[in-house]
Amino acid sequence: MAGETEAVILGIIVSGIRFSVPILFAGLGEKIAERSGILNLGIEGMMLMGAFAGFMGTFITGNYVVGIVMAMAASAALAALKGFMSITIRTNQLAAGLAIWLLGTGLAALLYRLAFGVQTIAPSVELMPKITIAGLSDLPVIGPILFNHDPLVYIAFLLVPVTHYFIFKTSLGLKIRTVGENPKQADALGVNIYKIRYLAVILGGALAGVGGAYFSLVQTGYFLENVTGGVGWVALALVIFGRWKAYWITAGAFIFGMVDAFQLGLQATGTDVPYQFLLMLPYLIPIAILAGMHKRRGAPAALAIPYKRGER
Amino acid sequence: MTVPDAISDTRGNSRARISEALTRFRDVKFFVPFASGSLAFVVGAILLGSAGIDVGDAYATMFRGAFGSVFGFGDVMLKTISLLLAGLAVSVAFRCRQWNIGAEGQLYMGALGGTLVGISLLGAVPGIAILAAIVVSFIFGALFALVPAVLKVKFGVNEVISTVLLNFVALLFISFLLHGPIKAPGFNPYSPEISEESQMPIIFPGTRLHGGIFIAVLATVGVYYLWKTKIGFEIRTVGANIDAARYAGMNITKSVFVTLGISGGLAGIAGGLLVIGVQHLLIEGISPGYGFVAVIIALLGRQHPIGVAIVAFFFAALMTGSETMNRSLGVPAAFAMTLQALILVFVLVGGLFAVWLSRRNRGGAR
Repeated sequence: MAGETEAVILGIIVSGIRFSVPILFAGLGEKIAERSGILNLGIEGMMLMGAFAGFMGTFITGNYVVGIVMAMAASAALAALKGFMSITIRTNQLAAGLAIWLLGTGLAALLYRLAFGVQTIAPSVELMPKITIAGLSDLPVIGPILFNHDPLVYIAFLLVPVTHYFIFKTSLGLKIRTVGENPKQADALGVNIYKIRYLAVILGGALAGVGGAYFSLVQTGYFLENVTGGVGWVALALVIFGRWKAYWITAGAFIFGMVDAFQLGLQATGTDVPYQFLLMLPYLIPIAILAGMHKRRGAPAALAIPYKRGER
Repeated sequence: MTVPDAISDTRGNSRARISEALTRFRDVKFFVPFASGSLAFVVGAILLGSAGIDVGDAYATMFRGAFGSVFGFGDVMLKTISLLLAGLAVSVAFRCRQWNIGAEGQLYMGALGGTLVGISLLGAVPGIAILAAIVVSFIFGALFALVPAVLKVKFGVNEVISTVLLNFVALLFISFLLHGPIKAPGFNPYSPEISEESQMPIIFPGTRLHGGIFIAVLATVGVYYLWKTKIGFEIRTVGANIDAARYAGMNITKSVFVTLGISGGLAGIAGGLLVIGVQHLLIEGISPGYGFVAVIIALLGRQHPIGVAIVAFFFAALMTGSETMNRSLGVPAAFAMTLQALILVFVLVGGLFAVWLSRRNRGGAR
């Protein structure tokens, strides 16, 4: 049954790509924030707000673009609050991130219930349609892997070189990096550290929001409490694994997506391994990956350290 | 300076007057929590009101649910047990700068430990069964918390990420056990009921409040005195300044292990008590997220046992009242969590904002 095995492997790769998308959005966003020196533990909560707002916007207007924009706005608003706490008020960055996580988690669930109440049939939106490219999408193997996805998949993978270029080749990217590595020097050079950090953390938040909306608009069509299932945390792990570099984060997101697709595939085909152990894999693999890399270089020197002008 | 002098002195300079008022409130620790709590309730009212819910009715129902009956107040105290123990667990870790966000998973492992004692032969020995269940739940929680400790010390894995992700692993592991190895006969994924000997007795008739409240009080006192012991001083020093601790010849590895062990163990007891005191069997949703709320409690309580106890009691009332609102008015269950997180945000912002404001004013008056 060689053909069947091939089909299964192909299916795992295709769904693996899709599973890696939310984490890619969140990871690339968090990378930008951390490059500026802001550690945001609140990603999971921001993604949940994105999942809710994206669903809500699409449900009301029937327009995915509106949904995505609302997801970005809701998540960016939480990120701005995190920015206010970490940049202006200079509270402990870990505590601020945890507060954002729990606030996003609670608020998304609360607003959803306030808007829709308890219904026997959960309100849903149609799943985002796929974009097929005439000719290319019908190609064997290559077609389904590369040319038969929803638009967010293409955008996510376009963002990989774009964010890389943004961080390393643009003057704004240089400012973000300087602010994260040596804020004192950046200040001396006349860079507005507060502005740059706000920009980076809000940009990161907007991207996390898209990642969250991917769950409700592409994967399920519903909003569910805790639909992100820890992906925001895995994204944090992957930023460390990826040494704050877009291509490595993408590699990590791929591994995560494939593991997730693989364990779902195993569940579907039936195996003696209890499904709970398969479901553990997406959580255990990131830990194992982090444990596997002993020396962790590349963290921005001023990560999680608030900046105050004129302070030694 | 006589009194009229002081008045005329400050009347002339509004800036000085404001700064004087702020100096009086310089210890904002006292003022900010109340303002933050009130503000959170205002935001909550706006959210509920915009959804067409009668806010006055909702908050009255909430208050009645928590304080309007003996049974309700018993439930507040019952939840205080879980929140206090879990809050202390997170506090011990945070105080030593070990960011243990895995209290929920450790709580579930402790619940498993308590269940295993309760359904085994050990659970049939009167007098010993309860103590054994508590000790084993501590050990289960502690051992599960040692996993991130090993990962941190030996492999350099950030404990925030490992503890959070291990929550999911613990819940899945419990789910596996309840669907297979320790499943009781019948349809539901429940464990068998624990023996009567291992059930914590109710201490107040007409309520669900059980003897675990004494364990929680004991743990509070224990944590208070822990900081005064040699090992307590060591683990705190490691948390405050790891370089200084290393220079003083303190064993960093041991400190991380002891901190996370005690932390996980306390969360484990919280879980064990949910089984032997409340549910009398293990189910998948035995904790409505106590381990996550505990993070807020530890931060609001400033990792001090007394602070944690006060916040735990207040949050227990909030959660009990919210459940009543949920049952009788259909206010979403997520209301309590949202309000708790809002209070934390306001306290984090408000506390430092007030400090910032007073500093600025003092600077300007100079």
